[in-house]
Amino acid sequence: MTTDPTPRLRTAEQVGEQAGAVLREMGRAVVGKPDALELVMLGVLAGGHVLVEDLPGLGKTLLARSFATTLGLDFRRIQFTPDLLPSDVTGTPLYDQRTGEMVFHPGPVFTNLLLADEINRTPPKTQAALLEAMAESQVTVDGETRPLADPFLVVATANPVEHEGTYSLPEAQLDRFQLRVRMGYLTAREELAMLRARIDRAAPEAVLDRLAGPEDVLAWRAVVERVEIDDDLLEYAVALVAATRDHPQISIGASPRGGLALVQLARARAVLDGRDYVVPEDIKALAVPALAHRVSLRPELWVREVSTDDVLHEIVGSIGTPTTRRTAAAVSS
Amino acid sequence: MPGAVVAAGVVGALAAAALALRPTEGLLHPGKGPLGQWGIVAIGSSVVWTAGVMAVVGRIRLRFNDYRAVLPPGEERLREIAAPLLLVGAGVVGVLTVVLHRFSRGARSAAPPIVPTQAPTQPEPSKPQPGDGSRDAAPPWSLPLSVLLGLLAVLVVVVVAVAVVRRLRRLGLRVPQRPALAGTVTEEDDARLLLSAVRSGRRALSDTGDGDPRAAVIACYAGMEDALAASGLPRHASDSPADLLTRAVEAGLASGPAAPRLTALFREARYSSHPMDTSHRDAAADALEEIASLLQTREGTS
Repeated sequence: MTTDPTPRLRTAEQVGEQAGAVLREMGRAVVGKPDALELVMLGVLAGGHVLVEDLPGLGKTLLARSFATTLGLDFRRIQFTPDLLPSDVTGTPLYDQRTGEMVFHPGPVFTNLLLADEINRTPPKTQAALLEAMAESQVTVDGETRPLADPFLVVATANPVEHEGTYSLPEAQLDRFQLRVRMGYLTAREELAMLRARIDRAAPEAVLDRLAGPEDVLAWRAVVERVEIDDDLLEYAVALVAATRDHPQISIGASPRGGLALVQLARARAVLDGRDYVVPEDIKALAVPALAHRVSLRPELWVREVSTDDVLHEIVGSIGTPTTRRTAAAVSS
Repeated sequence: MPGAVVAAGVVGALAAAALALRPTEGLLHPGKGPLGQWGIVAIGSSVVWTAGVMAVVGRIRLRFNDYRAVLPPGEERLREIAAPLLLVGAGVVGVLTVVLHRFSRGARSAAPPIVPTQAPTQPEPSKPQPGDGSRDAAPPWSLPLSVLLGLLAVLVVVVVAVAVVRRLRRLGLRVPQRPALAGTVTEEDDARLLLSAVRSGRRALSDTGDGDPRAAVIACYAGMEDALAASGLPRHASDSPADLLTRAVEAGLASGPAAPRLTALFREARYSSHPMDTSHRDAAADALEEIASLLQTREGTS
């Protein structure tokens, strides 16, 4: 474990190296998915929640568990099922016969890293139980508000909506996820390497080392908060978000929360790259993961198999990045 | 959608005009216009038309495929239908012109025409028969006059087309750029273009003198960027510095570590508040010199 006695004084370069070491360690278990791992790490650094969406069997749950192990976070898992109740997530007060009082029994949400496995297999009522926890890091049961652990991170896995036995996630809950990650299939060579690694280690899963702890994550997030971002880049982020609201193929554009998430993720990417300033590449690379799950397409586009990712890629390709020289307004101010 | 209404209106008007001008003798009757008597004119114009359409289609097909404008679903479907029709239909018109044209010679040698008023033999165009009806007489057109009129018509069409395109561009229509064809740029061209980019960057660096190092680095990068764009490297408004660098490297215009180093210096100068001193300016100058020496090496080997 690399606990620093003065975590607040770490530099972006140091954090980038530490987070890079964590990613390399996780790469031993999650083979061939460096992009997905990096995106989840950005969610950790930016203090957001991550939705991992793809077909079953692509390593979503393994990815979440690997993060918990390597980051040394307290880890709980909820397997979402159609009969899961909200109190199964948040906890419930029970009557204690000895004291004659109602005693609150915390649910699995009281942890550092919560794996909400197959979150869209449960009805929206139970999904909504996570809303307050994700947005405000607190839970209110029986009129009493209880704070959650710090850091608190939800990594939810979901199958595509068209899949059998799934409920679509409400827009309000989708908006709470800072980014959406898609795993995708391995290439033939990567799949061969994965099978070879499984045979060589003679165990179902690789045993990962713990390289950090909760206090490290908090220190990393403090470094992210010190990353600077130019006004022109903020305008670029706003232009991207605004374009989702004006696009003819999108019925509901990204919320202001989407713009906040995009900027925060861009700052986290800068830290992961060892920089303490954001560059256009940071925002451009994260526009699709940060915004695609926050927009709704017009219904007629479903039959044409147009995805929100496609539309967001198109928007990113059409919105101009900041000019090489500063704009006159920025220079004069 | 006003565009669709206008298109439908134009097609309807053309159909009405075609019906109004249609010869009463039948669809396949030889033309009575100034050029209708010469089959070679029909064949030649059809061949030229078809060849011209094929050449134009070959040039703009890539642009059509590359065009990815944001359109509502209805208009997008209309575009998908109209694009191939426009490209193929124009060529088919030329072929149909030859296929459907009934040449004068064939008409004379064939069976007598159905319309009795149509004589199988035509009088000499230069000798109109006195007292003959003016409708059956050969038109008093001479070939030079016909060619002159044809050229005049072409001129009018070109002027109208230019005016329409200018008007549409003023309204915001953009013709997409033709995608760059791989392997069309020779190594000598690459070297010449990179040399112009390096010179432009050096000039920008020297213009700032010993003033603000941050401005010097940014100006240096901007000069190189402008030169790359002017030399034909595709440049999009949505490009990040990394995108431009990648494209320049792929085109062989920025091999070696100097260009990435200059790009990194630019990023720090442009997007951070880090203090910049003469060392940064010197590093940018060194990167430029490295690019220049690489270029000279390439020129020496080529």
